Amino acid sequence: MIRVYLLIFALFITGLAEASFKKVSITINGLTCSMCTYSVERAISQLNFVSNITMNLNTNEAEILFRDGFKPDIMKVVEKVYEAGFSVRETKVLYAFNSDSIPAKGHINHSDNIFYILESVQDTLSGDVWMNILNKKCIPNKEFKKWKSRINALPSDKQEVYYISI
Amino acid sequence: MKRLIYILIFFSPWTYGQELFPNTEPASTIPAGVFGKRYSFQGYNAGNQQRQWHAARLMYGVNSKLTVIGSLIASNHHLREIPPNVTTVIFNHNAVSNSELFPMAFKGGHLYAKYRFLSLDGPNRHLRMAIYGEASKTDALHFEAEPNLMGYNSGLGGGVISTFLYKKLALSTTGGFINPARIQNKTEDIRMRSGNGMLLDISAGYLLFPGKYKSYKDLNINLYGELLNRFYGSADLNINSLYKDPGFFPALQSGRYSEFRGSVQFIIHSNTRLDLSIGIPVYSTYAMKAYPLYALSIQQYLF
Repeated sequence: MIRVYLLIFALFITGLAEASFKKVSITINGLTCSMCTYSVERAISQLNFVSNITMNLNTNEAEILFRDGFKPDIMKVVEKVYEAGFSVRETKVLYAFNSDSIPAKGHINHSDNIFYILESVQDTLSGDVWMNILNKKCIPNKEFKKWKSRINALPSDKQEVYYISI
Repeated sequence: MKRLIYILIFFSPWTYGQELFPNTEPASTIPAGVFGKRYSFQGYNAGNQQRQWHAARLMYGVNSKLTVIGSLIASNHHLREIPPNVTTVIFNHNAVSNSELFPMAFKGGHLYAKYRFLSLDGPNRHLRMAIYGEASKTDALHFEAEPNLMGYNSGLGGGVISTFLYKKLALSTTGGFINPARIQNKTEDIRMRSGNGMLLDISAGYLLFPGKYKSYKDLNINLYGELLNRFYGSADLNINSLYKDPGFFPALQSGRYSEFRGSVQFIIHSNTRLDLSIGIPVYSTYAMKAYPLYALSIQQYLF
């Protein structure tokens, strides 16, 4: 019986984590034709936590939705773009903070996801928030260099950390 | 009005260059873990016979930077066995008066590996560079100075590819070398080696249609112009242990040529690629090359 409770509890916790990332929007650099775009889409669709991809063939922006019951890993999505032979210009996530009102600064541990807010125009985080991910490979190298010293000065976590500007 | 349309096409933000060159390899690689297949055909009229060349190719993206390609080749470009009058046959090589009919036969295999070492991407532009190496094995009796690793000579090759793309224009150059192996037939006591070769190919591509994408189902029409420049040394021929001066054999003399390949490419459902090309001479030191050359290839990625 305890096991069942634990299972329900685990599912509940996982459920919370899944629901938090609503979608990710990735703008891809170097793409020029629909054949290349298609190969990127195919690469991303191999990820088991991805449920749907909508590609804008003219702006090369991919909007990715996630499957229920799986924990999304944004870095894995970005890695697939590089594996297909292209690079990333911008990575934006729509994240659900629900009714929580969290100060938009410093280290945030929310639903099993760790964020470091490096820059924010908002004071608090609640509801659905679009966030720019500033991790290496999520933005062009040139841009990453601007944030690199600040990121390196932060304490390193064992878990994947997302560096954020809002 | 016509001029205005051209200007609009030229400056349209939705028109991009294309780098899926039909006759050369771009510096870009195949996506990691993806297989691709391609069938290629080349044909030209050699006076007494329609010459045909077929290649079946399997491609694989080992990782995002390394692509390997294996090809199997068949053609009717060569005699199956060394004829008794070999000296005359080599002398008359490719001549219209040469009445020998060559059989269609399997010619051998070709392995190619390409490693992308530089990738500078930006919005609607990129610069990529790659190095490549190739090796081939064939038993073709290729009695010509020009080396060719696609079913003519066994040997090795390598080079550097640079591909630049900015909006409507894609440009690529390939600089490389070919080091052919010796053909040796002990029973007839013939030793022959084609000259060492160098190549400098320049390709340009342009996306003609669609102006703006609606879906993956949109038919893409791309135009290409490619200039293939080849330079090669004279062949080394020994018959019955006697050195034959290549100066007496037009096909064995060193030379160079430039060939233009104009192509139209159709991409169907963003995966099936059909290339149709025609090759015409621009400059050649070897008068007996046969033109025009027609080429076709069809390719698909196996996702």
